[in-house]
Amino acid sequence: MNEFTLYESMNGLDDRLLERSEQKDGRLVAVRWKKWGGHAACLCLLLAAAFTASNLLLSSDPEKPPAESGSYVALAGQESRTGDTDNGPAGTGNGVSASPSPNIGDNNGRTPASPDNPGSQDGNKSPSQPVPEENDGENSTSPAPSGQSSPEENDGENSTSPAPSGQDNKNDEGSLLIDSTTPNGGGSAVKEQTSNGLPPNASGETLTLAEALASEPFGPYLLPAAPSGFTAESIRRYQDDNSNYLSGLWTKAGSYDEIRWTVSQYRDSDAFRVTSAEDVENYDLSLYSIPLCDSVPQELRQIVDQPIFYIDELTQDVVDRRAYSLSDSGDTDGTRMNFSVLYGDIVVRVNAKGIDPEWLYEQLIRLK
Amino acid sequence: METEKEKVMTDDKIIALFQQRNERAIREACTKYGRYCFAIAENILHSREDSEECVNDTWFRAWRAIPPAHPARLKLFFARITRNLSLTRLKAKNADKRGSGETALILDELSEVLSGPEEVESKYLAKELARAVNRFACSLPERECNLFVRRYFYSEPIPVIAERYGLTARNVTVILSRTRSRLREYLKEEDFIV
Repeated sequence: MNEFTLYESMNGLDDRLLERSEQKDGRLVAVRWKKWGGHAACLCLLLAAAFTASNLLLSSDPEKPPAESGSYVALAGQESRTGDTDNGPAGTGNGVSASPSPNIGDNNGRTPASPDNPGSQDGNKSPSQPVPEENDGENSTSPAPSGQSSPEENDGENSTSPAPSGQDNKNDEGSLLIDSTTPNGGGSAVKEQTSNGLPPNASGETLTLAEALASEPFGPYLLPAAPSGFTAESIRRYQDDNSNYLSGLWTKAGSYDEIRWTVSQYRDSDAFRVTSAEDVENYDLSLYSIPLCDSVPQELRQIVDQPIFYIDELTQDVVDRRAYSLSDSGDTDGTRMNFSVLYGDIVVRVNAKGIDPEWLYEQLIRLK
Repeated sequence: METEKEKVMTDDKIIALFQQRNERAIREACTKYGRYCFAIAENILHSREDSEECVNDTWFRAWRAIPPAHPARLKLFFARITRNLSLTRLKAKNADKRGSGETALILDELSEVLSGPEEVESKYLAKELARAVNRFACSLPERECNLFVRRYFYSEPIPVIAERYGLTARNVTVILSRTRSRLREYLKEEDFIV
């Protein structure tokens, strides 16, 4: 017998042994799982610690109550143009956000949002009390993912402190499915603030409707008049390094009906939400069941959540396809609509509840 | 749309084709196990041409064997044929050499087991030796057995084995060395080596 014979004799090895050797070693799988699982756990801990630390740091600012800090817009309903809210009553009652990258239309940290959510969030709001301007639901308590937002989504109405419980933090009638994100494709860093509560290089002011309509470049695209029963609660112009928009909030006394109208510049980050009217799967809510997060395909969620239509393609049918009603306890079940329209390089975002789709269509067409 | 996996025929169907003397059996076998068999041959022969010939011969050897054979595990059935053919080819090609590459190393390693002039090849048939080796392998702990099989049946290089089982090459080398020592003792006990 020689080594070659022995080598040949390996042919007598049992099938079971050969098959077993084909399988991956369980120990190896376990080792790899432990290795990557450990890394993932460490990463989660680090992120959680960083987030908690940033919140604690900001909310423990002795100079400002939590609700005040970071509220860099004036009290709703005020017609002052100071833009300086740091010690005024505007700070109180603000729905403020701990989010380093606040945004409109988010779900206040609840993901994914569905049409169910906005209604329930409205439950915090008393119809008899005007909603402070800073609180028009455009604040988030969660960090926003980057790269998904548009400028119009960010009113800059966010602060860096957490929202006090019980305060109005209604948010987001607009978002149907997803957390909106920071408007400028990122901005995850906590905003620095100056002594007036504004981020560096930021300016924010409350305007009268007339002033807002006359302001350039966004004024011509603001809603000139709301339906009867609605009153302008806040009209604001905000600009900083990342955001530049004009927004208005109209509410209806005794109900939760409201109209949010935000005008901003079109940005490249909006491109993925622009849809043709022909692509109904991108926006037709009648195609999907509620909750939408369960029925809308993952790849369509962002565009279905907040589509942008070309004004030339906007029709009554398109608006109707965006209208839905939702019966929610504690809320009125008026028609809700949520979408944006592109006028050249200007984007108008509408989040509305309790208005007639035909009326809304007319308003949008008039701006053309 | 059919997926790639769905296109691959099951073993039972391939065997049925062999039994029906349908030449499609060879195409299907080649599709499903061609690369597997080629890897076995290549590990032994280190020659693409020779390996391809061995694999082709494998299908025709199987053609002659089925029927009456009805392999329970078609993959291993082909593996054994390929391995046998490859060793035969290697023996013929390198009658006066020890082969090359990995095979030369493997033969060197196995020569440790058989060191000494008192080999008693004539005393037992090769079949008996194969049974003894199988018994030995069955007695090994799973990890050692797997390494032994990968190295001496599939003729895989040590780094490949190390990667497969998440070990270092050094670790594999040491484990195999100890296993060979145990095999030598076992074969002595079984009177294959005096």
